[in-house]
Amino acid sequence: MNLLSVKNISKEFISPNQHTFAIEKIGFEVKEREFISVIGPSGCGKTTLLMMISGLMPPTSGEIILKGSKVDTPPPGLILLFQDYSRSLLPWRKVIKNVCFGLELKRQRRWLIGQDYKKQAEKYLEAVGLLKFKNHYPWQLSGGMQQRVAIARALACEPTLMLMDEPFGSLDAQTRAELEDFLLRIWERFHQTIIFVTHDIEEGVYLSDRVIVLAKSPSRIVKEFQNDLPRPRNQIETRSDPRFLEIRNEIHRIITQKEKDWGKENDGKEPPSKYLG
Amino acid sequence: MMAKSPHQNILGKISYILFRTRWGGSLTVIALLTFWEFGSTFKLFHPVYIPKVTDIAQALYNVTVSGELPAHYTITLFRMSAGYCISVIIGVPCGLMIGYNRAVFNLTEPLIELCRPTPVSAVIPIVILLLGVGNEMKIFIVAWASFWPILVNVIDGVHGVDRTLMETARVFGATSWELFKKIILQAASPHIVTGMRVSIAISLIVTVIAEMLAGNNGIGFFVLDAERTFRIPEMYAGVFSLAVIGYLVNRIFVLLESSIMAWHKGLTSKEPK
Repeated sequence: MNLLSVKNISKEFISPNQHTFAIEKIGFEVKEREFISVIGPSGCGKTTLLMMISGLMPPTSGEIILKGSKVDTPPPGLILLFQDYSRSLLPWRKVIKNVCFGLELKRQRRWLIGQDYKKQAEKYLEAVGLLKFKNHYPWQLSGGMQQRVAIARALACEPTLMLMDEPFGSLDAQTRAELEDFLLRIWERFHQTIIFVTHDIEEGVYLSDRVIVLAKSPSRIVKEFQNDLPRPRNQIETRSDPRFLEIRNEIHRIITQKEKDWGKENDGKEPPSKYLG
Repeated sequence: MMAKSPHQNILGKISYILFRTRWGGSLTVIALLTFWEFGSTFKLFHPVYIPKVTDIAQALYNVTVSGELPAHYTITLFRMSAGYCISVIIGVPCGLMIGYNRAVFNLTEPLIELCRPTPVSAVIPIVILLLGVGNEMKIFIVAWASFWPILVNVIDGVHGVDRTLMETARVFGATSWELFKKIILQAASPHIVTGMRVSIAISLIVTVIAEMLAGNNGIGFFVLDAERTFRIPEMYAGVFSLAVIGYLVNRIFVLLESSIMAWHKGLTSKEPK
């Protein structure tokens, strides 16, 4: 059975002086333990899509089914990881207490009965290699470390589905490569399902089992790739694999072509991006 | 051989202490008081209206030892802390509620914007009319004046809570109460403390004014009464003591703030964006 089905969802933003079609009829299925990348140009409504899947924002039409039930509020077992880690960590809490945050909430306490959640938090802080920084404040850590804390906090709740919104977008190239490999190891070890949104084509191809390519304004799926590159992946070997290059180039071609088409249809105007992104 | 330091000679040391440490500021005060002392001694200004600093110190010592000043201060500090506590106890929860709930905000915002800028001195006659000239009036006035800065700062604090933080908490499944307790209250706490600090200074000012207007005790009364009975050094002594008390109150508050809000200090000093 599919873990998640996104059924023909659309999202319109209506304000007194603007009416924007952000997303038009997007539909896809996600199997358990799958690693999916969603790639699209910036401003194509990727964040809006994740906000809807995580129940933070209702779709205008269509529905989202997670484990057989409709999503209208943030469902248990799902965690959304924001791009802006520095704003999603609680600056008044030390690292360990940040990781505990999700576990302290009523919802998780139900399944953590009798367990010490400090221990649970330490286990995942260990997994991201930051146990010795547990008594630091998040703002005392580097960007890459902060994002790892955010990952540990998400993992500690043992989610079945993790949504990641350009999680490595604001990191430097080297840290980014490290975290990509780190994420793959985490995924192989804890077996979550991951939907990874990015505007970086190579990153999306490198990580995933399947790639969904979006076009913008309104955002819709233009192509899906089954990505059969061998695992475990390797920054050097995988990225120089002819198949990798083939997929990457194909996606690149689709996206640039779509951008051009959009320009023709709309007299070269910039796509409206006010509510997107 | 000793390593070369930039403060080897005596001049270097003095200029370092003057301009690089906090002692420089104290020296400014001392210099001014010295100028004052000699100015009065040598009749640079009228020694009756502006008595020597040493005479003021003598008067301060006398009224302190005689118990006159401490008695007035007991009453003043009681009124001030009573009014201040009331404003905190009412202001913080009100601010949280108004900040959290859009509807309550829309309903109360114009009222707040009307009451807040009304000079407290203009409110005093109404309160005297309704509550008389006793403690009730003074405490009410203090509470009124210090209520608004607290309220406005708390509302701002709640409105300033980062959306990403709230969304994070919601994704983790926080209930509204958990959202309020674990995110909003914490994230707004620096603003809450700022409001409380602004208000504590105001509460001292307003207590003194209220005591000057009505009644026969408290430090405000003491200063005014000393002036009217021509006890000029005593009058200055009262004002000096207020300066010291005001300084101490603020200092204590800053120390408390930096120990409770250590995370905020670290965060803001690290990222001056």
